[in-house]
Amino acid sequence: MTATPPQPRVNWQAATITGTDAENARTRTLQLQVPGWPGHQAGQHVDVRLTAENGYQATRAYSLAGAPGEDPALTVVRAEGGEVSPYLVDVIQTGDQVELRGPIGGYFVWKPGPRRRPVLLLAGGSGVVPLRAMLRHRARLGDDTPMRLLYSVRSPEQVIYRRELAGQADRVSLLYTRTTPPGWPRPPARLDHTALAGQAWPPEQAPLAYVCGPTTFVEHAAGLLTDLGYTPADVRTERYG
Amino acid sequence: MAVISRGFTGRGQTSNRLPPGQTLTTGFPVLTAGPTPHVSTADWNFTLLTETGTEHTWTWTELRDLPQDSPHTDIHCVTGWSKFDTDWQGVSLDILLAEVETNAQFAQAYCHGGYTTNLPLADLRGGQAWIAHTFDGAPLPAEHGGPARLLVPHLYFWKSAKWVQGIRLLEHDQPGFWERAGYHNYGDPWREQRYWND
Amino acid sequence: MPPIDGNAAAGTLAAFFGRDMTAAHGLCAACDQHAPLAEALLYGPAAGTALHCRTCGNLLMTMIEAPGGIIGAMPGLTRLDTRPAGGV
Ligand SMILES: Cc1cc2nc3c(=O)[nH]c(=O)nc-3n(C[C@H](O)[C@H](O)[C@H](O)COP(=O)(O)OP(=O)(O)OC[C@H]3O[C@@H](n4cnc5c(N)ncnc54)[C@H](O)[C@@H]3O)c2cc1C
Ligand SMILES: [Zn+2]
Repeated sequence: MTATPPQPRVNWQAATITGTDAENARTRTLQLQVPGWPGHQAGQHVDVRLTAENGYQATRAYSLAGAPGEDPALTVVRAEGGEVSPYLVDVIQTGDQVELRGPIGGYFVWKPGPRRRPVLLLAGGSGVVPLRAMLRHRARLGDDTPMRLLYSVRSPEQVIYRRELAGQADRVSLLYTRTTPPGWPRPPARLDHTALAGQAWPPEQAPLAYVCGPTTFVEHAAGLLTDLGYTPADVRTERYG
Repeated sequence: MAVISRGFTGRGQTSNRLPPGQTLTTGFPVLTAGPTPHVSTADWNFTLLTETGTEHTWTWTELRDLPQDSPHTDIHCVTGWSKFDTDWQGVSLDILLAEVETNAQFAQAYCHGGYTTNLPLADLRGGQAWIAHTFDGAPLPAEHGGPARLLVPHLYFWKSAKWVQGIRLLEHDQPGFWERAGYHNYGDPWREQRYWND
Repeated sequence: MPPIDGNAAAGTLAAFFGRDMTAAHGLCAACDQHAPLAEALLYGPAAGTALHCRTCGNLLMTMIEAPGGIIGAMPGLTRLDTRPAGGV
């Protein structure tokens, strides 16, 4: 019997920005301070609520970027013309406040299991955020669960967590869909059966897959996994919309 | 009291033309609780179904051949945004209702995709409601309810059912999709009738 | 807008039930599909949260966030099971 996971925080809580890090030209990581933060699981998210001076409110979901045990942090990619993400990427400053509800989600989460089932992480664009939390969790624990990340991204400029991921080249593969770095072996292309079959754990090893990103990416990637013979119940998806 | 996020404006603004609790938007948010149906005008028709079971149906061409109105109006969404000075074209429900005999007190609009909403029949009469097919001079896009939607702007906008297929005229009130789920049965923005017991 | 996963409703579900519900399994009243709420279809944004069955499209559940609480309805769920893996 496993211990009951911490119960979600179901009320809105004030969170203060304690620091910001630019990940690339359109992506920023926000460090947050939340009084009484109960800790989270890798893959969970929070709802972020912004309130304007006139009372207008907007709420969006953002994955927790850090590993369990680390302070809450969000990595936000600017959606051009969006209501919330441009504010979080370009405007909000250290000392400003937002409201959070969470950590939440008990489905799209990973923790080491007794069987050490191999884990395949498939990220499209900003979908790398909760999968990075899973990689970090494994590394911090010194856990030996086989884990591999396949990260589909348009161009080298759009890679998030570049340095951190480069340090784990044995378990991280980048797949550029529009432009590649000079001399890159694979021409830019969408994730396909061949690329996936070359990286994915074979179904006989009873792998778990976590797929996250824009809806079109998730549907495409989950379809490819089913074609490879993955059991649908072992393919967990998180569509960002 | 909520925490204010400094420098956040969103798409909202304020004005005294606003019903209580609303903020002004210049965009036109798309709200949909289900799949967006794509109905071609060739397949589209609109039916009034009376309490005695009589049906009156208009094809797209028949609807477009009726006298057309051009309502200019403010709209108010229960989620808190309002939009001023929207321009529509459509057929007044007065014209359509004149074609049927009814003693019904209530109406329920039903739509492609399964959405429903209810209102007193009186709220569809008196130049207050339209079957609208044009927004801002252009055919109503599918995401905003095209080919045609009900437009009842004096009530919260969930009553202005998208992808409208017909209206049932009823002796007894029958709550629709959001009315059953917990929104107000009538939904007057000026009395801030948002939730079922407001 | 294409639908996203029920998982995105985790916050509203948690606020309503006081616990995580995304891993809870629901039984669809229309087609008997037994699946985690996280796998339901969530269309939006909408005036409230509406979860639909991924298999047959049936409306499983609605939630409306109002000041001070949540108004929920489960017109399309005949069973909801919060045991790990739904007791399977
Ligand atoms: C569970 C979950 C976890 C997530 N985690 C992350 C994460 O870790 N990092 C991350 O970056 N994102 C994440 N997302 C996505 C995030 O929630 C937002 O959807 C995203 O940031 C875009 O929000 P926005 O308010 O900026 O854009 P929105 O205002 O929602 O608009 C989205 C797009 O549509 C257009 N648009 C929509 N409505 C209008 C309108 N009325 N007028 C003009 N344009 C419009 C905008 O131009 C924009 O490009 C997650 C989503 C989910 C469901
Ligand atoms: Zn079903």
